[in-house]
Amino acid sequence: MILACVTLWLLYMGIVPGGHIVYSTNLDGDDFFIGKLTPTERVQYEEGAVAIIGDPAYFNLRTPRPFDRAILTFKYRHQRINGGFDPIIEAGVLADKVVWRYDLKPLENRTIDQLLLAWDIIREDDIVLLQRNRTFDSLAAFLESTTSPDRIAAYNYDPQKEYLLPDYEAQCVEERPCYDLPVSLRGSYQFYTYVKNEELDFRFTFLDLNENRDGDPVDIFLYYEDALIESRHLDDDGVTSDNREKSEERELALELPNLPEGVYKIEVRAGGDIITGKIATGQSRLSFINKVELAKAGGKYITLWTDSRKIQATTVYPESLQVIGAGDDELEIDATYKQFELALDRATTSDPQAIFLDRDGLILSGDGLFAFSPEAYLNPRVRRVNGDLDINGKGIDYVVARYAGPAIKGEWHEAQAVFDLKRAYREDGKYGFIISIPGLKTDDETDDAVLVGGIKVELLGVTLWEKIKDIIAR
Amino acid sequence: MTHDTLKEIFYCLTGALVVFSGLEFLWPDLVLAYININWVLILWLASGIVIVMTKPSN
Repeated sequence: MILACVTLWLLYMGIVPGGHIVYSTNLDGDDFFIGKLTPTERVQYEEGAVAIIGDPAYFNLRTPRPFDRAILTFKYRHQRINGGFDPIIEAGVLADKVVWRYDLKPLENRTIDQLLLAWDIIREDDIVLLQRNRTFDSLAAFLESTTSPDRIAAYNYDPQKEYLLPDYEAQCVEERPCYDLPVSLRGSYQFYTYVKNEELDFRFTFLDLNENRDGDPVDIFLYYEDALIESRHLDDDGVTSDNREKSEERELALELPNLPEGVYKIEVRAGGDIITGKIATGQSRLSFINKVELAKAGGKYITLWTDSRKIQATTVYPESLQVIGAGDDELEIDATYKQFELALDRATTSDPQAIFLDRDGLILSGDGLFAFSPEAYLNPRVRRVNGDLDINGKGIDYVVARYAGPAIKGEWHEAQAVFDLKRAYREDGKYGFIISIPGLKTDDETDDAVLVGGIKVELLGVTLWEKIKDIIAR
Repeated sequence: MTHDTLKEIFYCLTGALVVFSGLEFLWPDLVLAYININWVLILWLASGIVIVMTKPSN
């Protein structure tokens, strides 16, 4: 009888027939469902407290079955000893394992918290519009207005402001394509391009290094106004071993005529074994988003233009150690597998700044866009409210955000984030989560940290009855 | 505790081990999420030893 009851209870907890279950931990011991915060280099487990001392930290959530939605409650407080505050804390769920993309949601944004105290507020559902001086009476009126994107900053929200270049003319008229990217790229990347009275045409040339055992398919996605409108797929070269024999070059074309004028985003999703040897295109505008990984192909004296306020550089090749030049500043890359950072002096200009590289084989990242010529640079994005944005210096008058902010309970903060688990990656019954605190570093000679008091995850999914109805309906 | 009661406990733990192992095989982590089967195994072994040691002589 007891055994039957225990067995039924185990099945009940596994099936979760009501479609709703809550797991929580205060991180003082091993929890089966919510794993430990890792890695150990950036997370200190001390008696009575868990401190995140470096960005980012991770944890896994083990669930008995898939769920549709997760409501994460993160209890934390800031510890500032000899250090500044951490302006942004975000949580995310792993959405794509190939490119390690996390679906990030805000927990705390200090800049917006301060603006909430000083600026005019219009809150509609979970979206907040902040105005330096009240000009619009509703969010709809603001979104329909022709306010210059230069005066707007956004956070966790895309205001969908139309971005058109009135002076743009197609450069490749007689023979297309007429541009080649001057470098080879490794792995995944995304970029913006612009189309006006011309065909969108890209011819990508890929080769597979076969250094890893996994298959290496390539997917190309084309987005317009954040909606996927076209895709292309290239299967693996057939070699799924790590024999290190380079594959033949293979071409994948993305050609679409009669597209409406505007900005298009292209995402190339590929593993680290894939090298894009060539991008031939008729589009004259090409801005890479946040990151470019330059493959080691012997390229020298490469110049990039970026609007990033900070750039980070890493290399895994000893031959690619070098000194990067950016304006009057220099960034010495003198070790492999180590990230180096340089703050660019961009207070006086919104134009992109040149970065000079001696050779390729480098991963460059930043909070902005990267182009391989000033003419190719294109920035359709409104500014993002991050820790570095100078609201007054940049003349920002409107901030629009999908943001609630943390609740303050005594010395602890409690922030919530909602995740769509249907689009999350789940392996071995686990979802991967990230806690991102940009600017929190282990090696900056400060003792600042974020102390974690607990993690609670509320899971929502289909009920047993809905599942049965679904099976019957099939 | 009578010898018969000990036997009942032993049979119950034997059933628990079989059922839990079967459930764990069919649905990994369903049991281990809540019950440490090692402890069930230790209790089962201990109850078996006690039964053997306290077996009434004929």
